Amino acid sequence: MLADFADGIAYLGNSGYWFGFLAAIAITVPIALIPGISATLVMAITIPFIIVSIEDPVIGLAMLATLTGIDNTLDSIPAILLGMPGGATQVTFLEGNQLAQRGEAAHTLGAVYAVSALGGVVGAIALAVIIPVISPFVLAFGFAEIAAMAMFGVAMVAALSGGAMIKGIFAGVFGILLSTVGPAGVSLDLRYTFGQEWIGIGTGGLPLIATSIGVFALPEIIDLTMTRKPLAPKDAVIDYSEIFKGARYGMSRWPVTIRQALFGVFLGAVPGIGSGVVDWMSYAFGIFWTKDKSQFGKGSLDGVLFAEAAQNAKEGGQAVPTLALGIPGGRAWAFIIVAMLAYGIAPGQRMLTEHADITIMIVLSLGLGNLAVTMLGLGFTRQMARLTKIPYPVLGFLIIPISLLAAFQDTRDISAISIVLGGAVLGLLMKRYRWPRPPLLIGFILGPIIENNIINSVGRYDWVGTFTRPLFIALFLIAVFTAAMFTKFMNRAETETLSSIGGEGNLSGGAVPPAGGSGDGPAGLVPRVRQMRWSFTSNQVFTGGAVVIMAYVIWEATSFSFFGRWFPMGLGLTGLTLASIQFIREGLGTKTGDIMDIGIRSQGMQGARTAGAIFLALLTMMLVMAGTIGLQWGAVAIAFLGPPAMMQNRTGVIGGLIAGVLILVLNALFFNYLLAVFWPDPFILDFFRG
Amino acid sequence: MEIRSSHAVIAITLGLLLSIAGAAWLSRVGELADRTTQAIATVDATTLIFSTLKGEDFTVPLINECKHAPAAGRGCIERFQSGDEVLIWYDIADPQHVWQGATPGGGSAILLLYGGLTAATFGVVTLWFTSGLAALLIRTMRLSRRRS
Repeated sequence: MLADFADGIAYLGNSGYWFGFLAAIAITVPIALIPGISATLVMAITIPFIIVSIEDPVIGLAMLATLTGIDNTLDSIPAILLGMPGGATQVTFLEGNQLAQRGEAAHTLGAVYAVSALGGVVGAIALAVIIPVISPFVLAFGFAEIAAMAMFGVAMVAALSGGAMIKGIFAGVFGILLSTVGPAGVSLDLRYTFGQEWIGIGTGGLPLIATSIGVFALPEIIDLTMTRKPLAPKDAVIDYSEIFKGARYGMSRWPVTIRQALFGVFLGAVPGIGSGVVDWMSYAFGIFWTKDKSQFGKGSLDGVLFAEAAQNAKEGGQAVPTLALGIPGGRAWAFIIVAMLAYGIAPGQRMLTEHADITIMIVLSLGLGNLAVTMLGLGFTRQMARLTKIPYPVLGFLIIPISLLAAFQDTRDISAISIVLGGAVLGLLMKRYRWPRPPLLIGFILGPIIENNIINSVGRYDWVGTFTRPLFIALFLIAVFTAAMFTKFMNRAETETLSSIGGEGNLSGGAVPPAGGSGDGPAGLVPRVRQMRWSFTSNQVFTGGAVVIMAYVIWEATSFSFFGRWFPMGLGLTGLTLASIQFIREGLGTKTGDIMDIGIRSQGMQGARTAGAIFLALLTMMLVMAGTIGLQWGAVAIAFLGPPAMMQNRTGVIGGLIAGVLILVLNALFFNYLLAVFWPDPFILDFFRG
Repeated sequence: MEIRSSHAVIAITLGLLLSIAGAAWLSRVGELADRTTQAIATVDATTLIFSTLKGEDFTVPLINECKHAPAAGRGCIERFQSGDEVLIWYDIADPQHVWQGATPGGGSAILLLYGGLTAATFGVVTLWFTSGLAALLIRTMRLSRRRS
């Protein structure tokens, strides 16, 4: 085995390896910087070329490993600079974009590069250490254990709820319920489709990319566009000293980085746990170990570092089941298995014996790729960070059509665009009424993992065989214990937040002082009940809507078969209880702590209403054009017209011209010629054509 | 509402009782699962006809008339017709007891068992914090640190 490893390391002296390595970086860097284009898409496009043109499997597979390894670092750049998160950079966006708005983009990116490089190297080392001994551990993970791991993720929802536990848990439950929309995995019930077959049929449920763009990204892009200002303040410092200061800060956090990276490796090694889960779980894991939790959700650099360290390290973890067992650890690693099979190499124990040279080169390429991108990033961030000084409407009207295209590319189904727009409405409402969106997304990601794995396990091993497995019981108890601890800690944080605001107002919008609880009110139940006063508030419109939706969820679930019913019915009952409690709390004027999410930044700004009307008109125009002559032309039109209409000055006109020309070039050269993307058909014309 | 140690004790007690009841019920479901075997039954109007491993013939009511899963709120997509063959599970000790899919009663047993475990765990954590044990531990650790 050692001789095989030595053969692999000898590739470092092979010019062919370095050519492939540099080619992988040259291909991935420009593509991955475009929002919404993931490593999976890049791999899907490049894999045939690699297999056909590179004969040596060591070089070909190392190239693919480089490609997937560096994408995580690159994905964080548009999330921080443009406010455009991908499927696995939602935490980076939540915290990093707010830092960019404070003018700290260069500092943040510097820290991200340092932590990503360190995380990637830790992941690679962990892969080298773990792979010879990991088989029994990975094989112990059946359907039930994967579901238990996902439940562990749901327990993290409590950590992401900030000071508003009820709202947070409800959002998590609602997210899981959203994941049940469409055809059920086993029973084939069509759930919550309102008789509309286009909802979830073509996409097999609500797609992750479209939903996360809708709920999370588009509301931010719309909000930032309506501010009509650049992302960063005028006095923001964007120079090399800031970037290196950030990198030094990142390096100084090495103990935390290693802790997060090892957690990322662990999560990555569990098959079925996707990148989106790693993102949120590592964030919540980091929050758990942090004493001062007050800055999370408001632009915390540590929050970004928690997620980035784990994201880069998880590639090493995902490589473990891929190489050792032939079970793809993630979507990108599924492509590596495809390439391995195309080269005639079967994954498994032989990856440690006769193919050890490939394994060691994959390990080295993961580490080297991260280091190379860090060097590149440190060199070019100064130029890239200047994007934050461009008025946001210029960027926003470029990104909106690209994000719609990205959602469509994921599923190749036109319904993805409707899902993005519907999600955006939900996201804006949640921002307006201060309900946290992160728990919703983590619930949405984890819901199918829990439901499908439990149903598969019960179908195969029956109830006893599924729920009496020692590892399942242990993981379940850890999840419940974690949830209980988080609830306790977060309740304390809520109490501290509320006591710090004293009697200065009512965060939940009620007009009456708090009733009940352990406050200063009179002792005894009867006097406290007498003191309570009911009043309707605007917030209750949203909460009341949530109660009605949960009641509908339960009523509709009664018509499903048992295997289609048990999951949404249980969630509906939980959601109804939580929404009702919140409704009553709001009616009684009980204060709610702050949430870990961004509010509406354009609210109250001068001319915000006019900007909103203009934006709506422009969006409608783009959608009508997309439906009649095609999205590519709608994109060009909104890029040309959006900035001048929104900003109504010379900068807007120039910005519109630049954005319009840029999207024309992107469409012609990049999307049509290089990527040969499928554009959505003009759906309005198709409707009339029948 | 202020959470006190007494609430935690109630949660632990209730949780343990539920867990014991759930475990006992699950054990009975397990015994039934051990006695379970499969057979191919033929649909005849509203009944199912099948032969056991011993060769005895049984006729039982059709469990579910939906051939394909029900569409949301709109009943069956397609119904069973006479002559259709269905995979069924039955209790060897009582072949009249027929079902499809997972062993009946398991879902409720799991709900009790795991609901109890959840309540007990939450109760233990709450008791830890409300009884002052956590504060006592922290104080003891600080004292031992000062001494060292």
